[in-house]
Amino acid sequence: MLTWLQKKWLSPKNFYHTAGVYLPWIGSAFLLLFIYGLISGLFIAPADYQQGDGFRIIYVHVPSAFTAMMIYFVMACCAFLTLVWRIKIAAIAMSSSASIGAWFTALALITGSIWGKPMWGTWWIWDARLTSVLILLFLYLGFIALQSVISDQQSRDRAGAVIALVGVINLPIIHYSVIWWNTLHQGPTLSKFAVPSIAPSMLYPLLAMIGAFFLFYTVILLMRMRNAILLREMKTEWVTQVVNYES
Amino acid sequence: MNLKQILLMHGYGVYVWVSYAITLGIFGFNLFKSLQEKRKILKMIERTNES
Amino acid sequence: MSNLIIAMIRYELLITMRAAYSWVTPLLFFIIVVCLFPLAIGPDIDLLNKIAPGIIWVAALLAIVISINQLFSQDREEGYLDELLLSSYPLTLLISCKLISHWIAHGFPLIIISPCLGFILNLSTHQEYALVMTLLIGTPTLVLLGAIGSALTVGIRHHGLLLPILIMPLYIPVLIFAIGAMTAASVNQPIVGYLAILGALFLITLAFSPLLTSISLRIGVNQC
Repeated sequence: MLTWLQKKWLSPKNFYHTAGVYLPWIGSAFLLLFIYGLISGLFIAPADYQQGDGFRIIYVHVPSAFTAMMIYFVMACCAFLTLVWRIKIAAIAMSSSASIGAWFTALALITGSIWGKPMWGTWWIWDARLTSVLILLFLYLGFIALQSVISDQQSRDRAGAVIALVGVINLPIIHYSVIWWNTLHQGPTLSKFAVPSIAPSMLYPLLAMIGAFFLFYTVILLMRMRNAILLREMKTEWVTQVVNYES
Repeated sequence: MNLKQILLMHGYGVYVWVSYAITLGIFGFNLFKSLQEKRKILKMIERTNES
Repeated sequence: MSNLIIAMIRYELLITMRAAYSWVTPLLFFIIVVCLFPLAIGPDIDLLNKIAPGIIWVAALLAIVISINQLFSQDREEGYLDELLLSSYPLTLLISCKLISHWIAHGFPLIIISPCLGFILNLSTHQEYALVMTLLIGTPTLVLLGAIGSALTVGIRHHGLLLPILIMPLYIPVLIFAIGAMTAASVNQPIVGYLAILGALFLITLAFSPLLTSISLRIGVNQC
């Protein structure tokens, strides 16, 4: 298993080619899930008893918030790998994830705000969940800012890894904020261990959209990692071959 | 359901459609940016290889 | 070992005291920022009482961020930082001593002057007590967290406001619980719970920060 991992994914050159092979498949899976989620979420799922058709925003809000936190978790794992084992691919994955993570966090905040206006009557409220997601956005932006200032590649990777690891404490705070504090934001929709209290016809589009958003992140991540690999390995022979082939 | 009903969504139409539009916009923007980045990098490597 | 610790702290404090500018200016900044708010918001005493905890805490946050900015930069310029990195003593120990002396020089004056500032913002005695206690437990946490950011940015020229951007999100939990304590004090509720959480935050950062700062220092001066 480990040698398969090494052969296909760990070295930049192998990663470039393997990712290129899998990319169309992941993209197709994304499109399937996304279209299913869109159509059933917008048209087929029944309207909510309390919130009416406005609840359909859940199909973009919850997936984006979920994905934003997942991306930071992935970044933190890659940061750990970068610091402890100095795995270059992990550093590339970490740096490439940051801007997508920031976009998803912003999307979660925006869709949440749009949802909040008809439901709670306010665009924003300083409760625990919203504040901690806003902090997550700042963590992403700080990471991007730090990486943009450092000129040496290796220092940039390791410095980013430190700051990503330090910020990971925010993730459990976000997740449990709705349980620890009395807040306007509703409780957790999905829990690992309990049977979800949401109806199946509403649940399946939600799960599909969560999967779709995560697959979209994977697609963009692989594309950006391939770009970053080309940039980093610019002087090597295989990159020259690839460039000649592409143009 | 006719088109008007779909657009209005019993009064919530603005909120729902704006959020979905923003989502699709952000998705498309990120996709476009990645492709643009790839084009730029390929061009840059080509230029440095020629010289 | 204890001789080393005492010697390091004495040395750092001596340097800071001789260059009085380095510890006086953040203190003056703290005072001036707090004084700006009554001018900006108006002399309504009840309103000032309500927002005083926030004002004083945010001003303390900013003052500490400013002082943390030059924690390692001067040492780097003088070459002292390289000596610390090459020394045979554990870097985490040396950094801990540096942070202790930094807090004594920069955090402690803020705590001393805060009751006076609370007075001009019309805080009650119970609130003043809460203010001093939260600052006492909170400012070491802020110094410890700021050290990580300062170590990461030590090698970057013209990093400008990168340090505040990096560590302000980490300061927010401390701020939230400190203000929680102050709000409880304003309605004469016990503040022990909030102080306990602040103490827990302090102990966690005390455990992790010197190690992370030493790793960041090595990264920051390119010694990966």
